[in-house]
Amino acid sequence: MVLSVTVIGARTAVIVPDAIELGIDAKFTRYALLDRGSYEYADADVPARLITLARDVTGRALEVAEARLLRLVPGDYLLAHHDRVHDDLPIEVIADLSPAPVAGAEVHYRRRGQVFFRVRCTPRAVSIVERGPTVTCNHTYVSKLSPPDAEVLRLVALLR
Amino acid sequence: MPRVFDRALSWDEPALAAAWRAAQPFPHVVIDDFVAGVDLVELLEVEPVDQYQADIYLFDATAPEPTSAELRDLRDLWGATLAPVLSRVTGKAVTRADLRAFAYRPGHYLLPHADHQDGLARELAFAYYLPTPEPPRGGELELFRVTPGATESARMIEPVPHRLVVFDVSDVSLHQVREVLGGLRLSLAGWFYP
Repeated sequence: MVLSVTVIGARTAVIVPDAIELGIDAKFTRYALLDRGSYEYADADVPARLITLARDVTGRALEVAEARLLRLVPGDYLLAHHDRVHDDLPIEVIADLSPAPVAGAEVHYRRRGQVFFRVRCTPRAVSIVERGPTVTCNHTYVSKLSPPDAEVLRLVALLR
Repeated sequence: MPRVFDRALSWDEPALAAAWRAAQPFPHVVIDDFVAGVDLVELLEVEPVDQYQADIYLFDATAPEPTSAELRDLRDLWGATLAPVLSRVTGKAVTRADLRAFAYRPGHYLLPHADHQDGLARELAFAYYLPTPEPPRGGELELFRVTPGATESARMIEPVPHRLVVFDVSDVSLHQVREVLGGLRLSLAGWFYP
């Protein structure tokens, strides 16, 4: 079931709920340039069923170009200028592996600075978004008013 | 209105200049008991406040350009009175200021950034904290030291009522307003320009 679809021109942004459940055993490293982001990251393998899902949704023959795990706790964020634009039109797939929803923790996709697609923290959901030369992404600030054990865990993969 | 700035005219400028030069992680001064006894909160009640949100901030504030004559007058007087003094203290020749009022409520923040932007000519940044019915929990101004490959917290400045903070604007003047966790943090803030 597709929860939300936004089509702007030929571009698609999709959220698929209850799409995946993964156990994570990763060694995270904290990112330390605070004017770009505050978070932890780790290498990641992309499960075959996630690639299949992206191919089915987009109708494109996609392969994984890069992937990593991101972990955010209260006080963490990734700013838009920490992101990069792409000259081609790759597909970004984010699998939400968080143990529980975290209010206000969202992924925002922006076109020329304006948010056109919001992905709330929803465990087991997968977002599939076509990137491009004018699209950037940020992961919103996780409030310190969240429960102390709040944890946002995302598998972020770029497919071409 | 001029009475508001009486204290600026009696600052110990050599002492402030020495503090400015010695401050770490980048030049700044913290001046307490500035504009004591004057109700600027009342002055701001005529100015509309909206919520502003981006990836780097969430807060309530007045518009970049004041809509009321009262706030325009305050901004102009603020710049005209303080610019000559701050020019002598900091060694940066400034002549005017812009100014907005900010209200940080629980969950509001301004993430680490440097105010420098090409073409904007910001020379000095300032924040002046106003008294509030419920003092803020959190909301400190945090200054960072920038080193290759890392940024580290170097100084935390509490938003004490009637405290004025002035700091240098450069590529390395990295700072943030830490998230307000309770209460209300009211301030006037902006930049001085050549």
